[in-house]
Amino acid sequence: MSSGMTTPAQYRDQLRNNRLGLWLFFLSETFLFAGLLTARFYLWGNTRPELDQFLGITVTVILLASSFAMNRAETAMVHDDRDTFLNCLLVTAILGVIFLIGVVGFEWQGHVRPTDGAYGAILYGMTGMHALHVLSGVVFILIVWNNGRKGHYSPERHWGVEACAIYWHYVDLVWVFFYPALYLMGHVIH
Amino acid sequence: MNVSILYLGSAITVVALVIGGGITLALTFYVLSILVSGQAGGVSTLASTVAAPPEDPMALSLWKQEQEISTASRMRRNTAYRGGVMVLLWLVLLTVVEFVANLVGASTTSLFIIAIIKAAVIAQYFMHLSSVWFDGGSH
Repeated sequence: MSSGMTTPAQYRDQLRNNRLGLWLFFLSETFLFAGLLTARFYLWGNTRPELDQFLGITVTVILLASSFAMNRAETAMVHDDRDTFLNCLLVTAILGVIFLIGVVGFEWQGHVRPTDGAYGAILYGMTGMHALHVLSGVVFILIVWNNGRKGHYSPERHWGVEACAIYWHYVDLVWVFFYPALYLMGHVIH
Repeated sequence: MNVSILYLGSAITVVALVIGGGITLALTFYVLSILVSGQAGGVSTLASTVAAPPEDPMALSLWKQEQEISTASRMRRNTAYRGGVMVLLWLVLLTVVEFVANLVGASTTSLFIIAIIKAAVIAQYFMHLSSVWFDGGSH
């Protein structure tokens, strides 16, 4: 991450390879989430279960706000603003946990159960897989926060921060498609 | 009360809450950044301890250069912060448009198009997608 063993030229090459590797990982993740999205349209068609609309838009805005906080943390690191960097990382993690509470603590306690055929399977499959990624993102953020607290990153060398930020934005990007697919598209089936 | 009026009132309330929430979040972050760094938006609060200029002409010249570099760096950082706020506001606005479009019975295709626009904004501005090809060697 902030190894002083490499020359700037070596670090540039390493960074280029790291970015390529991360985006290839996202490509493989996209197949997973696209598969879930396809299953939703195949099994639900132009219908959807009745879900709490207010909860849906609230958790969506919270996740967008967390992406903003993560972007600010990364920007702060680029500009050597370490206090803002650490604070915004914590805000991102807290907003991620609030999102998880919204989905797992409230949406999963609604009237749709995992055993409710295709509706339950798709709803829990999509939100569960996404929630797992949010949870791993929160753990990733806390590791980066701890490393940042120890001074492991610098404006010139902070691949760990960049990777964490891009991963978090990817999780947000997936929800951008999941939210309308679960909460908005199709007619409500009572 | 007429059901359609109740429906319209609820929709307006939700939209107002979401827009208000987005603006409140953006303002909260802006104020927090001022409190933490003392420099966001060009306002200095906690970090307003600028040393007095030295009297020696050589040292004064160096001091002026340092001040200029520091000001330029602060301005670049504030511009970057403001960019993030604008992206957040656009994303919240598009989410509201998505929500309202669903209320007025927009098609699945149109909702999907809005989602693609939101995804493109996140990929370009938050994930720095273009840097993978055009700026591979730096942060």
